[in-house]
Amino acid sequence: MALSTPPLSPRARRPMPAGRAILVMVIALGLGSLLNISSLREAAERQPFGWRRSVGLVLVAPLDGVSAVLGLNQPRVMLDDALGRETPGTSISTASRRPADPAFASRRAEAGAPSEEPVPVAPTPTVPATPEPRTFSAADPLRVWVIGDSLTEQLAPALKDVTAATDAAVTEHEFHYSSGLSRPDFFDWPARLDELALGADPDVWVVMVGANDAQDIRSEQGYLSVGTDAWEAEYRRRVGAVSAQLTSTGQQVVWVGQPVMRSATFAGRMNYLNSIYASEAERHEGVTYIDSWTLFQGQDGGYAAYLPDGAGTATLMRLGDGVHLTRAGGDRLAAAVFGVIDERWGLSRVASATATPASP
Amino acid sequence: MLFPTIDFAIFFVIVLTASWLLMPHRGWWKLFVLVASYVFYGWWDWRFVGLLAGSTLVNHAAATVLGRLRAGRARRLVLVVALAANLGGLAWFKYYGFFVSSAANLITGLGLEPSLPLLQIVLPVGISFFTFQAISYVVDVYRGDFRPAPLIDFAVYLSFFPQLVAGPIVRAQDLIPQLRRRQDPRSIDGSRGFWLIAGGLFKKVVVANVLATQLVDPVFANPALHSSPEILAAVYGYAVQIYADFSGYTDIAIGCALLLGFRFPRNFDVPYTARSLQDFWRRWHITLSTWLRDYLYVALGGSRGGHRRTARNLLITMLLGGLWHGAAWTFVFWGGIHGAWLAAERALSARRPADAPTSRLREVGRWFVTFHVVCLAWIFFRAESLGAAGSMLLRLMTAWGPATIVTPALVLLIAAAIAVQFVPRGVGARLQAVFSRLAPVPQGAVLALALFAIDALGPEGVAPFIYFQF
Repeated sequence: MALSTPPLSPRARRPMPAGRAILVMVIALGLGSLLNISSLREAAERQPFGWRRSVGLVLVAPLDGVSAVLGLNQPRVMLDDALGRETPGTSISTASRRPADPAFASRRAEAGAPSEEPVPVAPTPTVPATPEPRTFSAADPLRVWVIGDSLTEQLAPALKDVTAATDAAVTEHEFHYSSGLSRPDFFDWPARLDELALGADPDVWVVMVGANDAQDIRSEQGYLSVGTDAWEAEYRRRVGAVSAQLTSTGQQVVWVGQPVMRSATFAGRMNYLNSIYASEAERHEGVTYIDSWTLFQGQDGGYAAYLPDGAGTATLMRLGDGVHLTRAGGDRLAAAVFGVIDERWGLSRVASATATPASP
Repeated sequence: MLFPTIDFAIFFVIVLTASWLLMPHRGWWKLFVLVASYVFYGWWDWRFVGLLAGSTLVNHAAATVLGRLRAGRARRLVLVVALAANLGGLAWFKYYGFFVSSAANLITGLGLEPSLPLLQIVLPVGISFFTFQAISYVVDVYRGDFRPAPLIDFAVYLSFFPQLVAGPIVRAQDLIPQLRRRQDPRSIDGSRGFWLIAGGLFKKVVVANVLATQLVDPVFANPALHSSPEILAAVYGYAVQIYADFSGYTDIAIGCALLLGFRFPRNFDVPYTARSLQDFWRRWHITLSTWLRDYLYVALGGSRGGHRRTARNLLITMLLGGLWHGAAWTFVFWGGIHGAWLAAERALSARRPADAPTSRLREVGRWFVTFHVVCLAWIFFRAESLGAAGSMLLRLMTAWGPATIVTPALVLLIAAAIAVQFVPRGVGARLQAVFSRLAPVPQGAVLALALFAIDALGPEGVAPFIYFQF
């Protein structure tokens, strides 16, 4: 069998002692850390609050100082600028790496709206205005945006197929790994949603966050331990604020709860968050809560990896981690989401008789 | 533990240093590497370590008994039991869900109520790889090609962390003799090791992840929403993505092993330059194709029984090679395309005289056809289902329209990744030689710049390697 490396010859690569290889590796990792310090800092900061995060930040802090003094953090800033990306950890509003659909952005710009500047978050819920009756079509579709964490990775493509089949709606998607509402210092969804609202101007928001949110919160009142009354009040405030923000001009919000999870501990936490989402949805007009917990329950009421698909065939719905969805799981959830959207906007009627105006 | 993470960087610096310090003390060194490898593996799920240790003990016992037995029937029985244990374990973890859900659906189809437990078996990372290594070891001992090794040697061989989870599939006769030797700390091929690690990280984090997130995943998720040019670009993009992902992993594995003083077999050799499918399989996942050749194709009779028998053996080998990746009809189709085309190539080449003239145009044509057969098979390999693969093929032929998501940068990336395979090997070797002659600080600086570029250009999040699921 051929070996990966031919025998060394003096005219080819020069062999090195092991000690030197270790030295080169340490130099590479050290200098590489200084050059990538923003990314390293972000990796430490995104850890849940606790000793691991504290140790990470303590280790990164001196490197951060050295990098700044030597100006070694600047090449990354310049490269990120050149690539149109935001350097990690340099702003509260973490920019998306998947920009909004340019077609929507340009349409909004034509209407005279600024496309870049975010607007302040609406501090209190406002009564949604009654939308004008609209006729949805391929040329002027109902615009659905799915936002959230990795649980939406399969939901959104599935919903794209369902909405595309109506010929009167399109679905766009933006998700960020490990994101949620507990840690705006890592990813600030409210700020990002403002940018999306301006750029994309959706009619329907499908929100699915929470799987990363059962962790401590840092607020003006200090650190709030997950599950305490103070934590619940703050988290509830954030859910309510996002609900108000997204419905402020009459958009529909479909708030998707967390499905039952395989780990009993994790499932318990998600059940707790679901109760917050459900009650906040009741408090905000225009917000509909989808109980995906029940949707993914087995016959015994617990976690079920296999469930019947649309044709009644037992199909794998969950990935091996007992958390995420397969595409079949995404299809199952998308059908429920579409049902809620369709109930309000009558897309099925549009699909069956394209000339019929949809009246919400 | 994933290679492109801070966790692994810290782990590897510690293990590399301790490994060379302990190298003179062979017993301690082996114990240390074994523990380090189990930590590396247990990082995913500590329960997996029990499986690895169990596989080690069972296969060691089988090899020890085989080494002592002389009688043919008893030896054969031990071999069959060992193979059944290995393949049974693999089948339980990889195929249980597929078979039980298929059976349940069949029973439901007959109007009955199934009571089969539809358990979701968590697939332990790397089980296909270390099971194949264990099988090769036991079969080699059975065939008399290799003497049974002491338990600690075999345990280190099976769990050695650089190649544990996604290959290369290293044979016992390649690695165990190296484990027994004290490696010379004054002369290691560190430059090539660093080169492979940096190149592997770039392939994985930048090339594979960018293509996946910006082109391949969106198109394969919703083929009905994409035009023919987008689907064509996504198919080419996936060909590059899976090569960059998998060969990137094995480059990092081979590079880490080199820094530790060990040589692994080559696993990829510019596969997209192949001018026939047979040539492709000499260049793609070489350690799997040679494993399938030595332990399956040859066992079936190989090419000893005439054209028809050879074609049958090729088809069976490739179908089982497809199923090795997972229990799904898409993998069966992937294997079937490769097996059928390999058989057709054999039949055609048998008719063509060995001294028949060739031309540059003919060679380009052979490359073009081979590449596109490979790409056709990749559609089935990547698609969620046969229906989705069919939808991709239908849209590829019928949905002409603008390719809005195919940016010039993506086209350039795909073209460059294929074109670079045609660059003569000497160019890379010369660059490595230049790098090897630098002082430690410039060498470290070059590598730091590579880390800088990889981290800055790679997309958000760390996607697992494709081959971790197999």
